[in-house]
Amino acid sequence: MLFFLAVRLRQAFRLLRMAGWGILLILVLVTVGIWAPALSQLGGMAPLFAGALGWLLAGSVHLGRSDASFIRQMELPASRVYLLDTALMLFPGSMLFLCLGNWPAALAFLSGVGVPVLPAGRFAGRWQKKARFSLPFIPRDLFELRAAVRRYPLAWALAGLLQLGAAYHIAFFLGAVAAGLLLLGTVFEFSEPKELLPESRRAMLSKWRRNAQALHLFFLPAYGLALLGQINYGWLILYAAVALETVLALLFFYKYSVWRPGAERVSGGIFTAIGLLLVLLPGGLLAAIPMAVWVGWKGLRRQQYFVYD
Amino acid sequence: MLTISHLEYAYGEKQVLTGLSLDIPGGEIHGILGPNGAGKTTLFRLVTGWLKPHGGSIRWEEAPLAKRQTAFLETDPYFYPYLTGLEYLRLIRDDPARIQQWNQLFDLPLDELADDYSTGMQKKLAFLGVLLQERPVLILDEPFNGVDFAGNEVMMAVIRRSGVLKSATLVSSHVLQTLTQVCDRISLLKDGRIGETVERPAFADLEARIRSETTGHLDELFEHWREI
Repeated sequence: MLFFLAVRLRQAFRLLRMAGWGILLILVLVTVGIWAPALSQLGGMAPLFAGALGWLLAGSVHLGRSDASFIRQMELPASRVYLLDTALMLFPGSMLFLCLGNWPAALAFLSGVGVPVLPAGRFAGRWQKKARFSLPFIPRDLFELRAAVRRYPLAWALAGLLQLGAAYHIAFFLGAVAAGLLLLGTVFEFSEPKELLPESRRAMLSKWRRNAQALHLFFLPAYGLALLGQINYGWLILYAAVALETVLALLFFYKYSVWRPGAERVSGGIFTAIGLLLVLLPGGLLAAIPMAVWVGWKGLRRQQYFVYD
Repeated sequence: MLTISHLEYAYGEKQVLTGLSLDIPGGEIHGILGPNGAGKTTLFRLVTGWLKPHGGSIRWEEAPLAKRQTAFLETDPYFYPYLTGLEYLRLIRDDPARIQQWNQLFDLPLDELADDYSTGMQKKLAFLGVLLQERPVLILDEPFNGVDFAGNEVMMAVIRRSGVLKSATLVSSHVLQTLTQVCDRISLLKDGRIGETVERPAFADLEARIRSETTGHLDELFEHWREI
């Protein structure tokens, strides 16, 4: 058991080393506007909420695990591995509550270790199930979007429904776009079959634009209804459309900019993550757009490698 | 003896296994041959306990087979990120001396991150993990995929000797010749059940028959093209 804990700590240390301490420091500084107010809230958080947060976090990670096949081969019993992993995951958060002087919340947050013990804990990794249904409107080569819709059909349906309220209140429009931004993050994985890789830079740019068109087409009702009913928020609607474009560009080109596995994938991922966070900060878009351009240029430059691989 | 009786499994309405039965004595290496989608991997997942059968039973020495009695080499083995080869193997069995002993087979750089291994090296590492478990039932799904020729030879030699460990070993491969080299018997999976089981002396006939069935029409086809 001690060896297992040591291995987990080594993994975390290697991850941080590969990410680069410098870039992490920049991330912390850039996001101070987000975490500083959040941190001040944590000190006074009710134990009930802290507990719910712990359970939600532990539940989502536990149900999304994809290592069940390996765990069955391990010397340690699977139940103990799940318990140790969940405890390790929740421990830093619990310590944070403790440091902020909120020990009831620390205990409540740590109670999330109960997730793998529950009967539901037996379903670890069940969220990995493949969805199987056909999609008529999205072209086959935009398979990332197809995969996202097939995996999270209800979330896309929700984003679609929220759009219908855009004429009544701008919050519906923003909610729909926010859901879209979140769903986009699930799309661009390194799962592209070699046969479907863009065969030229032009093909890559074309695929990017077709993804963008599909996305804007999906949000067309929201744009239209918001412009009809909420014209006062015209600039905000434009901002949301540009944010969608920027996030899409960051995610789309990031995949190609770090196509080969290695340390660059981690640093590139953090660079992209900073860009994504900046999109959410007021005025941050001005910094995120050049970052998207940089990632795009790297992706295009990388294209020659996977063609001749 | 591994006894699989009247095994049934379906994915939704698609029936994959329809009353499959198979007996494999301890120490035997048994090949499973079948076209893509025949249900080989489903059979393996049922034996390892990943899937629950919809009918039938799987027993080892007359008692229901427990998950911890099987070791499974998947087609695409899972690897944790940022883990060295040695750490991967020690999670499976924390016995460094034994690990070094088994690693003499492939001489893998165990102090390097498994992420940085090539596909073939990762397969060898996972294979060592299976051997380290020393369980009575070994399941090897496409063990030779992606492994270089020298590694393949070593793997085949080890599998041939796994009979000495008294394990019942199930192996699948898309290359018939690899199965005929390592197996004591080969079963052909057809229509969700075992169509035929062939003993080692009849392997040459089996190879000739399968070659004839799968490529026999090609002469006619090429002749037709020549005429065109």
